[in-house]
Amino acid sequence: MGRNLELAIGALNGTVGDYLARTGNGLATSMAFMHGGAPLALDPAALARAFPAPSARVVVLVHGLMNTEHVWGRPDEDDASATDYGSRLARDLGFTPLYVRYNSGLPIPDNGAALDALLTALVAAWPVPLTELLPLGYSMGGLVVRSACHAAATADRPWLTRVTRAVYVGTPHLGAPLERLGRVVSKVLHTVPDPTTRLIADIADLRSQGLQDLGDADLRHEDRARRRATVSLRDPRHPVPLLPGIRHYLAAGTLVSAPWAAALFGDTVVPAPSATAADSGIPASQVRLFPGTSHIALAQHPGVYDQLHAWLREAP
Amino acid sequence: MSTTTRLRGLAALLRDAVEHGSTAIQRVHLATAARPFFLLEAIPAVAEPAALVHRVYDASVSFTYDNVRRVNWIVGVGVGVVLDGVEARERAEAAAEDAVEPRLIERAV
Repeated sequence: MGRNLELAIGALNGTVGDYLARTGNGLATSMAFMHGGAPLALDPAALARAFPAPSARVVVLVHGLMNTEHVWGRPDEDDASATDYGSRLARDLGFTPLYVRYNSGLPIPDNGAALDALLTALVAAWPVPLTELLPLGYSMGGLVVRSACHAAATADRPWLTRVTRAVYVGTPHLGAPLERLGRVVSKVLHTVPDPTTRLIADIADLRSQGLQDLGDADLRHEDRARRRATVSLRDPRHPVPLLPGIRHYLAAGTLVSAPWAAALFGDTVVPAPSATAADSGIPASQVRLFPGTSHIALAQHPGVYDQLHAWLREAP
Repeated sequence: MSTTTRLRGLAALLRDAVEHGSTAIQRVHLATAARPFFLLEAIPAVAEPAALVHRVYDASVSFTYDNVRRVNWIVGVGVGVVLDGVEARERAEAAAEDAVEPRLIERAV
């Protein structure tokens, strides 16, 4: 029941989380690292209690839209047989996994700024000197990671120097056409001079700002200006490049193997060119497509973990 | 996030949904009904009584939706009062537990 309730609240946050936060509603989630089903206090004593043997290498797992950290399949309590990516990276490569929970209905730049602040606090309070901070973002979580890195680069944050690699799983780097389609449909409905049709359009416009940011993968508030200027179903040219100086690894799913179908439908939510950040110059060895894998399956896929392990087992 | 905070959030969300939802549906209701009235009011022979019926109709519809929002507000206040009571009881119980524990420790020593 507890997990289902948390998932329901996560889905509600993804749908109208910006409204919940704006109205001070108690259902709005604040960004935090979750440990044992509760938010983790970022002070050295609390961290030492939660992690008796902290590693100098930390993997930060960031979930996607309408999810919570449960999307990774992690049990609430520490379990030696857990098979989620974080637990396996801990066992196989010595990372300490930290699971972020956040309000995925807030604008991506707001969540990026919150993650930047959270990681700043983490680096200051971590019980041992951190040598590597590895962000692992799933779906929207990857965009939140990129937004945080962008904010950190702008403000010259110390935690960014610990990030040498970043992993994105099913992340819509060039946006999500489903949201852009929704935007077009809403715009068309608003032009119909019928009160019922307008009501439907108004209801469609209630979707959260976080969800709307997914359309063009807006990482900064100023990126929204191009959304207002044009309504297009084509992938946009992204104004914020993947940060140089970090090795980016991208995992993407496709339900079908035909290239044209993968480009069109991808993993049903994110098309392959968007998930692989096509034309961004990422070496092919750092990109992997998983045919027959849906968007949801990417978060708990043995094949994806094997690839993560292969990418990350080398020293950074 | 405590259970009471979440219940308070859920109550507020439902209250907002009824408030904004009823306002939006009222707008659609009035706009849809206005179409036949608009046609009738364009016919000189029935324009005056049609306008009168239109005004009465709009007033009765608005009265009904206003009552929905009024009851919604009253229920919201009632739920808030109940949750305040639950929170006050939880605080009192927690304070009582805090007061008992040191005494038990003293006796044990």
